[in-house]
Amino acid sequence: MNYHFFVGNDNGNSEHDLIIDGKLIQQPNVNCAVDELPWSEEQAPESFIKNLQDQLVVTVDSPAARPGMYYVGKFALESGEVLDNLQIGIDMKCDMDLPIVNTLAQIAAIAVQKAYDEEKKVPEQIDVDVDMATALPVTQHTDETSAKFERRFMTGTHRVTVHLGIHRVAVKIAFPFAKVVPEATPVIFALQKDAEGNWREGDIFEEFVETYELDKKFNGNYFKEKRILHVDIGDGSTEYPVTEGNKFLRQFVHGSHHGTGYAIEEALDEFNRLIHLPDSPRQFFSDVIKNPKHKYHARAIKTLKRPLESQVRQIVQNVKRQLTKTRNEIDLICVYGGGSILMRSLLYPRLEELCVEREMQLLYIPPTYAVQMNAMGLDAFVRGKIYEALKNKAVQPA
Amino acid sequence: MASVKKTKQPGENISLKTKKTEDPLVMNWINAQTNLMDSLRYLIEHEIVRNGVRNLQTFIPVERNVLGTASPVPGGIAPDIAPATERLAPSVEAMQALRDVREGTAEIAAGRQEVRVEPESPAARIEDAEPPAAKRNVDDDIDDDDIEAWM
Repeated sequence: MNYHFFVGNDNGNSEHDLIIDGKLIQQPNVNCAVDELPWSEEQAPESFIKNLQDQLVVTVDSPAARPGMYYVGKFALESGEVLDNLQIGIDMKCDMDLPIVNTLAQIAAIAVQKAYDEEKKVPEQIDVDVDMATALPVTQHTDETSAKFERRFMTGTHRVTVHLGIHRVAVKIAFPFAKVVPEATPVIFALQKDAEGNWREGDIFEEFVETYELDKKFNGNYFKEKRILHVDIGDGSTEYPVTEGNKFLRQFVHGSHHGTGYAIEEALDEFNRLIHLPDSPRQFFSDVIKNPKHKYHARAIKTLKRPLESQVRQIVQNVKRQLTKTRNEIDLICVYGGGSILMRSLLYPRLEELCVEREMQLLYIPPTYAVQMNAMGLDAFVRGKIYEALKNKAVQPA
Repeated sequence: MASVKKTKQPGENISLKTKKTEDPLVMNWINAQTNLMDSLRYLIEHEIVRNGVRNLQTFIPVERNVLGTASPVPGGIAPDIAPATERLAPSVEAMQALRDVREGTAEIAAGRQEVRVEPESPAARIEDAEPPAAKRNVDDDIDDDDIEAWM
């Protein structure tokens, strides 16, 4: 079986969001290396397929990562094993095995599901060619780091065994071309158009249209020529790139080490003390924060408030710095990313004030879209004309 | 950045941006292609077969009225290119379609039915002619400059 996938891959510090072959996957970006399968008894391999992302176990043999068996994402998080995750502010993503292993695992899982969907039986072997766009934080993105990250995917073939119980599926993955861009910059494509290539419209702009009393027929065409200051708030970093139409402006690329991850780390000890656990990972805390029904939710929010305020203050400082650099020549500030959800009540009023003062608009992406903006942008980018041109250039050097 | 025009090499991109005032029939034709660039290539091939490689700009008038949008006289092709393009001259059906567009009374007969041209002002008509949904991420607005920015 042979497939060709387009992959938009947002390897976040906290969450891994990818759009593979048009399907959005959201998993905690963690894994753990293990010695053996968690299952020993025969179970129908079919029973694993539907929720494969939540019970993903792979064996990776790749030139780009330490070979071995891994639990990936949610299954790793819930396994109680010692986790590997991205240390915010410390690890260089382009050097880590985690983004490689988790990306390969998710692509292999989708290939298995697709093959099963089409053939109605569990496949033996699948070959996948992947065109991929992914990103590095602005603070880590240079010509060298991006080339290095691209090479790790593009060199050689990656062999991934997907374990469905004790049944094995062999998936061979090759990347004829992969492009690494600065985080947040491809979001301009997702603001303009939807997955079908039509001007984007709908509830994502609802609040924006109401606030500025814009035409009811509003759509993504509005952003076509706009100069946008992005505020992409992640776990470990916040990116503040400036884009103009379909271009990102290199001279204004800026990122800072702020994000909810720092606030969470600051709050984590206090939280663990309150819930009588000696130690619990950052991702567990994140899950509790995201789930208002969790019994520890209120306690988690309480410990987080003050550290969060300090992050917000610093992000506003960085926004001001970017505005100064651009001489306020910005049409709108667009805020998104996982961190923007938690910070909203603190950040929105401060940015709104700034926007009134400097005659700009504020587009604060609603929570249902905030996290996936990067994956959506990367997906649009990898299917677009720019990617195609870059690929042609790389494949046939002049 | 006014510079000497770069010679295109095989494999490079060319970009085509439609005019705000593009004739509805032109937009309709563009939208009816499943592979726009290959269709354009076909037109280029035909021009080369008939006339060899030449700079068309030196043979065609700046103010053209090939589709007769501005005047009701049909077949207003510049005399010096008319012989070369007989087969491109408007057919009876196309002229009928043209009248339909202008009067805003009917669906376009010559093009695909999926592109509806609403009877509004000419400018509004063109703005509304979106690419069909079947094509994913049709980014016709992207030009060489945009591509350059991401190198």
